[in-house]
Amino acid sequence: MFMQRSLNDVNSKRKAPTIQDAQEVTRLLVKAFPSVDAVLLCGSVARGDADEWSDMDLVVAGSDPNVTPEQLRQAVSERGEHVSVIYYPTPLFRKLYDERALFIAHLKREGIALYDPLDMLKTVLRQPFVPAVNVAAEIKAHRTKLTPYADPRRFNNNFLFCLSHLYSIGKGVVMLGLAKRGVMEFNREAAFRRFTSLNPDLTKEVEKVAQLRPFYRLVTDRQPEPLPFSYQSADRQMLEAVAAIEALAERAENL
Amino acid sequence: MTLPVAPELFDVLSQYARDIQQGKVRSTPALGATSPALTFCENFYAQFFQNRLGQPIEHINLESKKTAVRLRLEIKEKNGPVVVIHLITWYENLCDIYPSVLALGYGIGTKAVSSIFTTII
Repeated sequence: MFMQRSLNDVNSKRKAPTIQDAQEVTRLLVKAFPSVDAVLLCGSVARGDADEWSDMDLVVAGSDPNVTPEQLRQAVSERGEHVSVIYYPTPLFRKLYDERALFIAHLKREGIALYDPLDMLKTVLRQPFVPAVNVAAEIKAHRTKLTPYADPRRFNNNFLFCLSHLYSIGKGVVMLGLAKRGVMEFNREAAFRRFTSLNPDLTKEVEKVAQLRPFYRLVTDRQPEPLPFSYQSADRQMLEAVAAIEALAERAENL
Repeated sequence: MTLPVAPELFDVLSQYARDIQQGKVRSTPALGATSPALTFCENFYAQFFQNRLGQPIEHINLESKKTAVRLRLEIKEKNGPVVVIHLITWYENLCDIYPSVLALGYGIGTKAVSSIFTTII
């Protein structure tokens, strides 16, 4: 496949990012963009389980609405880390609390404030998490995202991106199901294990989603893993995954 | 004979447009990694590159953009179809904004990114 790089080539250039690296990146960002008001580290680097394939996940808020994540990434590109930036104009950052309950819960759970001179992060993240309404809405939204996968003919026998998306949707449903029960778990594998232990009758469905991980890693350019089956002509596997996610979502909605 | 892109794929976009029109989809939070809009774009190019250009793609990133540029220049040099060249150019644009489009799934995003993505689809 024409995009696959030599594993040795990539390994030789990458190292696991650390919190210290993130602090240095933040210093560069703030220097290059004085309009930045807050920088929060989340994801595997914040959790302390990053490997050489991990991105450094930064949530950045700033007063300039025209700044783009590309510009921010450009400013730190010379350091060579894989930096993933989510940027919010500051006035909109607070709206996150209403719009994306699980994301806020994620930030509350593992976020590390690297730059917060206005105490904005401290204020937002100190608010109590009230999952009932928003989590239910997010589960519903995830179910809606399954609609394109109803007809396998749409994919012309190439199911790579479908299987990657279905992994993301399924993982989101599992985490939302846990959140609805008050369990905040944002490590994917741990979330699958926890959901299964709470819903042993859905073990097969969880495994069906979890086995799609290599497709997700392939598409997102992370450490390659052997594919459990070819993504060509995988219409049956796609439909089974959709059915599994539907079952998980139904349970998550009714928890 | 395999078509370059399955006609049924366009149903994804039509349905998404109807959902937006009927107010079933909130704007930016519904964009992002798993939105029907991105499903359409990714699968359109996965099929197009595999079936029309004979070069399967597995990522949408700067490396794949470089390969796309190379392909586009080759096609142009051979006086290939203009429409194919245009479609590859749009793919290059998608590679540029892809990380920002994915970030939209995490919340509100920025006006700039939303407008670029809206233009593409």
